[in-house]
Amino acid sequence: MNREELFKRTKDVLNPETTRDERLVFFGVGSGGARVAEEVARFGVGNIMLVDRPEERMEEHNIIRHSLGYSSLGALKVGALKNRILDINPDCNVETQELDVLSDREKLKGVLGAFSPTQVHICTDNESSKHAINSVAVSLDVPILFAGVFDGGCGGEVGRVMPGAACYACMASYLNRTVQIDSPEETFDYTNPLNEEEKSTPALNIDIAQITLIQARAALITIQAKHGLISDLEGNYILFGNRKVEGMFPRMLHSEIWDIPKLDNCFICGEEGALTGENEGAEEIIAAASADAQG
Amino acid sequence: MSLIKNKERLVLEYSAMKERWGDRAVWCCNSARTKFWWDYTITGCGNEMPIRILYPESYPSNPPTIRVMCDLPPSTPHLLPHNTMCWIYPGERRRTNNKWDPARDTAAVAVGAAHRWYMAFMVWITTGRWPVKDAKD
Repeated sequence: MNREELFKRTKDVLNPETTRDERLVFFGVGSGGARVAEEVARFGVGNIMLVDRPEERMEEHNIIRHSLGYSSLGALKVGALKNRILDINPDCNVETQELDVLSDREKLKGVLGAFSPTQVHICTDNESSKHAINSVAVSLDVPILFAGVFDGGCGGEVGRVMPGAACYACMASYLNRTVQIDSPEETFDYTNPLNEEEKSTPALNIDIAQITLIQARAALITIQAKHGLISDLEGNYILFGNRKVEGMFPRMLHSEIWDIPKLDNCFICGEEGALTGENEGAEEIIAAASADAQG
Repeated sequence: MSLIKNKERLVLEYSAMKERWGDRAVWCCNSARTKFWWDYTITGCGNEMPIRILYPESYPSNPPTIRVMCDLPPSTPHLLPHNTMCWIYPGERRRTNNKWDPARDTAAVAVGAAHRWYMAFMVWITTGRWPVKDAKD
């Protein structure tokens, strides 16, 4: 491998040494996360960690929207994607982890702490895991980027959490009150109360790719702005419409950048003891409550 | 969670529940103090229903669960296995209403929802009709 030759066609736009020391972790390497990880490897990012659920393997229905193909059928996604990334940029140090972020918070903290990321990418497809990763990652004081594709691939969102600013929970809370993605007529689906079957958002590959490339660009902007090479994103939340949607995207390829404020006293990223205003005596309260409970 | 390992969140939960529901909410734990939950009794319409608010491992990324601690008719609608109330949209995606908001909500929210579930249950017991629209309606 000849590094100079590898980046010969891009180095005049982006010096690969700018990104070489970056350490990016990706939670979720499905059709979204895999593409972002691959793209940042092309930027010259030197260290990537890929995290997915245990035993998450490539299945045939994944292939049509994934950067991995039939040659990876049955393989662990993290392992197959590692090979794919190394096939593009052999100079990249790629680590993999299988981890259930919802049931093993302690391991999640350990994995993130040991890797010392400079960016955390949340590319999972369900709200609970996004909140779980956010709740641990906010304490690292590094940028967190997340993305989502809306139903039918009509568009999507890319958000960025900067240290001390609105976290994912702040943004989710804000968006629930202002963005109506789903039909307001929709009622509860009691037919699948435990939601045991994992469902992926229906969308075309091109719909997903459009959003993932915005996420990759946001990652690059964040790195370049950190080095003072360019000005930073003007906002923390990007909405992009692949198609025209009444009341949401007035035209196809519509984009907006919002600056979502930090939620006062957010229970996830706010000051400790947000509700009580102070957190002294935690041990005493818990001990007293526990004693009451047993007495 | 590790709710047990998150002292700040424990205090938050305790304070919020006591502030909203006072002594009606009873803080409970096992003898090893490794599990915490709340016991609460809903009253109304000349009847009462004891419930238990439990914290899942993934709390607060996922909402607390509400278990009814008395026998209910087997045909009771909007009831999940293990006598668990179906009190919140169970799916994974963000919804514009009836969602769990980790940035703002504590288990105190669940008690309010349990009160509403109870009132719907009493209507159903009396009239045979559950006064909440179902997904298939």
